[in-house]
Amino acid sequence: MPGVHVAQKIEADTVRFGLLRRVRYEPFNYSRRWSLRTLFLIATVFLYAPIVVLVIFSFNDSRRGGNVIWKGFTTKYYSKAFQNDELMLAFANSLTIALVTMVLAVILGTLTAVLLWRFRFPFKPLVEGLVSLPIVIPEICMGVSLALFFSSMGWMKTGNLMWPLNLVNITIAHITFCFPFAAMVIRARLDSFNRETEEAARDLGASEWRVLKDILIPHMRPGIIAAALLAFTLSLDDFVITFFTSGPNTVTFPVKIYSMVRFSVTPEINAASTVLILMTLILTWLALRYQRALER
Amino acid sequence: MTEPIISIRGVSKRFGGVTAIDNISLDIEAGEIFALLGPSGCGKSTLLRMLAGFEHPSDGSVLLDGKDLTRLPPNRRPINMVFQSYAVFPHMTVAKNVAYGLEMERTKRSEIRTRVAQALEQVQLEGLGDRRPDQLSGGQRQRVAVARALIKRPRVLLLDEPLSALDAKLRDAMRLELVKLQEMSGVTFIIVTHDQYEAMALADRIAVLENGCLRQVDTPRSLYNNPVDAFVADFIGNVHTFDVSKIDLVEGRMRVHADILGPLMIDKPIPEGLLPGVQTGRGRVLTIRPESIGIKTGETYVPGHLTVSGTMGDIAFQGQHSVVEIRINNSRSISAIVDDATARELDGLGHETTVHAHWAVADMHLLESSIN
Amino acid sequence: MQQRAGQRPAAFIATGLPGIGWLLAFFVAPLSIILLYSFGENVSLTQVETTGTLENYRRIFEPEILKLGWRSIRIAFISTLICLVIGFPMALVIATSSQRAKPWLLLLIMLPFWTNLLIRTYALLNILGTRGRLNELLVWLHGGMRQALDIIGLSEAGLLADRFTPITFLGTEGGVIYGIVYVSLPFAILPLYSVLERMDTSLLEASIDLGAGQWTTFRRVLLPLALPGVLTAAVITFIPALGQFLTPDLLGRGQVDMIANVIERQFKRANDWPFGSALSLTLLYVTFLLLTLRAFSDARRARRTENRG
Repeated sequence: MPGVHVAQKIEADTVRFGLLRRVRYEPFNYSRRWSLRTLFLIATVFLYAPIVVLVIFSFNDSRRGGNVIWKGFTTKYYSKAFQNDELMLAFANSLTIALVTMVLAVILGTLTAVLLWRFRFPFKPLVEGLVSLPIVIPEICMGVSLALFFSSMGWMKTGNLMWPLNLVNITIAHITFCFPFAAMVIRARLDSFNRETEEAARDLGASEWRVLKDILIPHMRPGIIAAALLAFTLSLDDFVITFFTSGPNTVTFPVKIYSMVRFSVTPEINAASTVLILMTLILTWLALRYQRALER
Repeated sequence: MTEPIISIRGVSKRFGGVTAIDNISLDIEAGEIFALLGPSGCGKSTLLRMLAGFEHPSDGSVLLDGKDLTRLPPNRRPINMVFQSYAVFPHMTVAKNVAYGLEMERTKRSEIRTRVAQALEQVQLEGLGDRRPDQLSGGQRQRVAVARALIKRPRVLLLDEPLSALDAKLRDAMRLELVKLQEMSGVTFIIVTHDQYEAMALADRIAVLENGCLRQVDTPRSLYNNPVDAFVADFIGNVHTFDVSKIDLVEGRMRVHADILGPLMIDKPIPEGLLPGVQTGRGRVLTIRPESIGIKTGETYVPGHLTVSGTMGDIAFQGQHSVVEIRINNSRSISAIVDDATARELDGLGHETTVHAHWAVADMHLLESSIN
Repeated sequence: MQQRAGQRPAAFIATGLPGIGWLLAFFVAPLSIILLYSFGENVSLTQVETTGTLENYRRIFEPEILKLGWRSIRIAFISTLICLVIGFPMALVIATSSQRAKPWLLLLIMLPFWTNLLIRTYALLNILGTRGRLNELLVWLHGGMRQALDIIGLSEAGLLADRFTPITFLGTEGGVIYGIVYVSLPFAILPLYSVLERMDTSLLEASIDLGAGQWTTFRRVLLPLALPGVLTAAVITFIPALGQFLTPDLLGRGQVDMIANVIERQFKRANDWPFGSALSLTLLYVTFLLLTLRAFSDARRARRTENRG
């Protein structure tokens, strides 16, 4: 009798497992396990602690070795950072480059996304590969190749031009690595486009231009805004490529901080960094708010 | 009476403040195909997952062969499941999928091999053991899922909406095959479905659930002929309902006043709690099935029948039979199912022609309405 | 669905020309230039002539460069491994959290990633110094453990040294690996999360239903199904790690140079552009090799899916 055998087995197992008051048996409940939660917490601390310490020590009243011992609260390094003309120029440079990059990367990215989404053409996989390549190749390779390119074209001299024209090399470099990201983001958004809405508009008498303006662009808008934010952040963030394409007169914020760090570690760097971190936070907050508004 | 294989005793399940299952007690006999039937959200899937061990009752217990397995984890229960999505492991071959459960029991390799071959033959997948699941059709994948569960020789096999993902043709074939597999293996099948026809065609007995409550448990035929309330009547097939306004209980016979039908003498068992004298009929309805309704053009008296007059509406051709709509008044119409010959005859009549629907008073049921 | 380019030539050119033209001018052309330079020689301080020499490629096989290349691969490999080992459980936690918590946990992980890379690396200097926060934490833990040993009466057993010697992170491979893990971890978590988030939980339930325990289910079902995500995470962590410049530069203090630091030196100090070009291209080839391998494994999967019938 299989039934009898089974009943005995159940009885034995119940004795073993019945001791546990509540046996939860969902196989995908990893977020409820304390061991994994603890690991998550430790890793989060690992990610945030350096940034938090940096922000705290930007208020440290200590000149040298300012990052080791707490000597009291001050905001003087913020005023010092704001009075540092070179640092402020670098900051202005970074923002200018990021803004121009954002606009051009979005335009190029939108067009490329529509190209890849809309058309079938020979060697399309090759073109898709070309567009995604700047995303994946090591930054140093891109920095080096652009540096050689600008110098062999004689464009390194543009660094002596009047501001902001002197930033043209860096901006070109930034657009080159930012717009493929923009294209990917917008292309992904286009995947959710319902072709029938376009056909419906046509059916109701809309011209090609009206379809673009009334149907396609409004659909792409969240993607375009996400792409713009991404391009802005990537441009503001970049160090390696800028390092290779900038000259002595065209220093961006990260490059300036880099040279300051090499020289000495001062609370002023902490203060300047904190300002940039704050900007990142505000940008993220704006992006989130926009996303929320869309979902509503 | 033999001991039931599965005994569900006073089981409730609450998720937060929501009651998914409300105090259900149910016995399932060994060797039968048992269906849990109800609309989506009625708690039938939760009940099935409880039997598998993936959900735990807030109250009550589940017994298998008379032993409590409420606290037993799913991998310790001699109960296996065929998932709605089939859940065939996409990274394993068919044979590996089927062997998986035996490997967990540490069965000998040679035995696994012979039993996998047998199981694949049983579900007519011989020679496909080396295929990968993504090279199989939906029906074949379901067979893999069934073979994978049956190879463990479970006491009970649970099937979650087994036919819902298949197209209509395949569904009929698979339905017959499931019945055959059950007869061959002798394993008790418990099937969850929202499809009344599926439940009626497959199951020996059906439990009808609504809003987490058990409405009725019986054979398909009894459910159809003797539903306990209007919900069951409407879910097992279709019914027309007529609201009852009042009931007179006169000398042990009921006189029922229903909205458009007028007073009728109904010779049915008198519902419990009905006192002699005039009563309100609120909460009760008279029901009649469309297939019990006949249509005639002239007004002739049929003994024991009730006649309702109306005008011809639309006729929907459905092959062997047609559905005829008769408009009683502006807000009310009833439909009748008639054979092809009658349909053709009625088709010649124009709209607005007066016709007469009639049915035997004895075919009507006095039921509690489902709105409670 | 898609239109042939020939049907609307004007629209095709209008959408295609700007982006593709830009890439040809500022991406393909610069890469071609370093390809040319890699076969060139310095003729004067700033003049390079392409002579077709293979000397630059031969120099890559000099022991010193090979040693650096091997170190780069080792550091990148270890960092990637650590990122996967920490990132996988973290991605699991996020993927199995409630729908309400998910976006916030993701944001929590991604926020540091949006912070400037240079600033993040710089911030680590303060953590990793011999008098930095990490060593402070270790001293504290050491003290706590000593006290615990005192209480259970094992203080004399010599299990722990009396005084904690601070660990040197800066200027060591360990410090550089710490830095690379720190900057890449969020990036490694994303592909892991996206594959786990799409995981069909009924497969895991089926495994349990068939008699497997939690660990067997993890090993035989969850992990194999998450493998594509793990591979993607590995590739997108390994490639940037291999070409890391900033981390070895700031945290390695010139003592743990990786391949990118050598490349930088050729351009900024040694002024040996042809050799720098050859090194960059080699790094690029390794990248291509990895991407090709990844694409092949994807294609195999795709082919299997196509064969259905």
